[in-house]
Amino acid sequence: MSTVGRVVPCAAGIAALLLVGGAHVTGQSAPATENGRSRAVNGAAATLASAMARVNTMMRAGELDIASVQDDTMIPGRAHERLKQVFKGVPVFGGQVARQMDGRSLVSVSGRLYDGIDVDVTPQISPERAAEIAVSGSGSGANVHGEAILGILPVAGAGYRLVYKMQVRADWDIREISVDANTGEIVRSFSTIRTSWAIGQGTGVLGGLRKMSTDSTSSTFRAADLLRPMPAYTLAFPGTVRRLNDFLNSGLLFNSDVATDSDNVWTDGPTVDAHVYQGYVHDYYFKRYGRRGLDDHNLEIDGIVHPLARSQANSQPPDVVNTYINNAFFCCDGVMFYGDGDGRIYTYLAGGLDVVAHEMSHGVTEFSSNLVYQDEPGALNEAFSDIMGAAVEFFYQPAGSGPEKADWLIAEDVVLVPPGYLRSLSNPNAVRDPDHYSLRRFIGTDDDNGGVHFNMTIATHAFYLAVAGGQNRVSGVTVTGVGMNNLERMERIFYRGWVFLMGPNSQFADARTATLQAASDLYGANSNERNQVAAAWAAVGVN
Amino acid sequence: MLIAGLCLAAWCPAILEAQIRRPPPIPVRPRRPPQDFLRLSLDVGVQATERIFESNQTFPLYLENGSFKFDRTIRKPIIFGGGLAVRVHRRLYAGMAISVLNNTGNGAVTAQVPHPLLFNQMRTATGEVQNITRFEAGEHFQVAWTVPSAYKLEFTVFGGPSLFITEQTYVTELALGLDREIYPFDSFAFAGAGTDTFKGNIIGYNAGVDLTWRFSKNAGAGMLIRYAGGNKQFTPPGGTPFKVEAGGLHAMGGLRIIFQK
Repeated sequence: MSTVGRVVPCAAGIAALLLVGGAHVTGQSAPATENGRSRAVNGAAATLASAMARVNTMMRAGELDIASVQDDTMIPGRAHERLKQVFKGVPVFGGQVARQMDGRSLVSVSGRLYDGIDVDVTPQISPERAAEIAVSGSGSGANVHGEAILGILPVAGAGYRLVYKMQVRADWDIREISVDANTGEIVRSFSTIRTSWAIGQGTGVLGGLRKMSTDSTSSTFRAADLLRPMPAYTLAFPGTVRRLNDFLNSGLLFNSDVATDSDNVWTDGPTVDAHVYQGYVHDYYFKRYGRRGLDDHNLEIDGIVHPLARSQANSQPPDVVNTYINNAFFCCDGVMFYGDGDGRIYTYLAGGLDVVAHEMSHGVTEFSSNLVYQDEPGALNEAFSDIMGAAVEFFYQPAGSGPEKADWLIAEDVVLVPPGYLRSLSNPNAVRDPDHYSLRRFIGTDDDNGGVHFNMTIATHAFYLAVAGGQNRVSGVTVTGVGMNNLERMERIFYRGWVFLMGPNSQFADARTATLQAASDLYGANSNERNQVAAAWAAVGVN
Repeated sequence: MLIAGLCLAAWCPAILEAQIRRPPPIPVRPRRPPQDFLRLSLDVGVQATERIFESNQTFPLYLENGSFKFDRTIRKPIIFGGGLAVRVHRRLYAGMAISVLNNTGNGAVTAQVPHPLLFNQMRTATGEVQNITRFEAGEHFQVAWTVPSAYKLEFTVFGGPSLFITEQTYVTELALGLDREIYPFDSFAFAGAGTDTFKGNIIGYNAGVDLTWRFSKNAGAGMLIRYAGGNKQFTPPGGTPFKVEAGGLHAMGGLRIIFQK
């Protein structure tokens, strides 16, 4: 969620992609609401030369000035220069480009500059008079803090204005106010008080105590994780059909949807677990693979809990119950739904770490191999999510059986009916899921999009065998496995295969090829890891 | 003239007799040799024992308690001293000595900092804190017994209570907070610490020996070994008590000035 009143998830995702991916995106036009007539200056690889030329020209003309140079704390040897736009000696507020330098070599240029400025830079009123105007409209105790700075402000729909910009501190607010330097009109005024990070305490669905990254406003705490590079919000719907339908029809999420708590001691289990587990999964991907969020550019995550209240389970048709109550799903552009569970078959689905990891991994797939959600590619899509679900559990939880323990079962913490889990990577056949390629079903049918939730276990079982070893029930082939101590290695192989080496229409055989290649890449063509991958696929009948 | 004299002697026998009688001897009191009555000393030396100051504190952070240990080790610091003793009876002296230690250096912090988002995931952070000062002004009240020895050597044994006026910089808090955390938060970089100074008097005792070679009646060179020590428990505001130890084994040498009468 952004801090504006409302956010269209898709638009938010695109905006985030553009913003964080500036070095890789060229020539994007200014958004419709952009002030003035700005031009994106983004350069990397092919467009770098033109961007560099433009920047150099402006620097020679005195239209750009180095404002700061900061060493890159993430990549040794690099530095970031910020160049501020200047017009006839006065700053253009917001006009800035960032140059990334590697020694004397230019790596990238990104930022936004303003064209067509035609403003007389001689003010008609004094800065003191501008300060009086700003203070007069700012409530009790208002005074100007620091100096009023003369500059050019791009104004939406009104070109450019010569303004005095200053900070005004009043009893209850700190505002940045821009006063027209000719007319004395207040052109722009906004509060600069920012919310602050906080660590809350939450109790999860199963009673586990968690730390939550929240933010505090003047009156409440929000389930907004702004501490991690990926902004993540947990939105608590009221559980009504009306709100759900509003979202489904409009795609709109509101700041008021964000879950809140008055004392930062959170007791709504689904909110706690969704919020915390989303962060865990993000961290897992970063720590294990260096991946920055679902799209690798820290896409904002919006997790929705209570899409429909549990009490609706008896009054809604089965497909609604199975979608919004007894289900969790990745929707689009970082939006995930975690159903309440009907309390009979499922409890709150956000209570399963593997469930949350599974859904978020669909996002990873969408922004990487983008496996088509049908037939074998769809099954591989689901398989990757289960593999990552199990892997995340082993990353955070102690191995074992019971609540909040890492195992090879999926959704075992939220399924209330026997056998107490949804799927098994170690023994898919226990719930009559296929453990061999010869047992695949529904391909080419409309059932479950061609059996995406059924055939997936062929691949997840291969992953299990490659790690833990064992004998395939159907083929009788025995796999040694790399052992649980080397689980990380197999995770990296499967992640690399799925994310980098497979495409939208990859089949099981392609998954085998991709993971073999990944194993060779990471550990060598003759490595034990590659041999175990080959043996595991052979055991499940994928050749 | 001579003739006149003889005549006078002949005519005046009484006078002659008087001149022959010896006057009674005047009693002479034996001269007492000068004795020491005031001894001054000026010394410089080292405190031979390491002085380790250590405090352990806990702090609440991210719903857990973190902790840090601050320690400052002073190895053989230079100390200055002096003394004054007055003879009170025979070889028994009473007096007071002082010792001064003033040392500034770095202290080490080792902290266990809770993870902001995970329980039971303490992160170890280490760092140095500069300008850690230790000041001790010891006042050692002494009774001393001096024994002369061969080769102009004097051997003195002394002991008594001590009072240390002590100042010790200690760490009160670490620079912590979410604005100092760096994703993914698996480590925490020490970013500084707040300090305060303990100021207080510590009562202890001292005992030691002094060996002086007296190269003249009023001066000599001496060496002394003295143990002077004491400690005090101190509770910083809102913190965990720690012990401040003062003094140690002093090995010093210097000038001895002796006044006699």
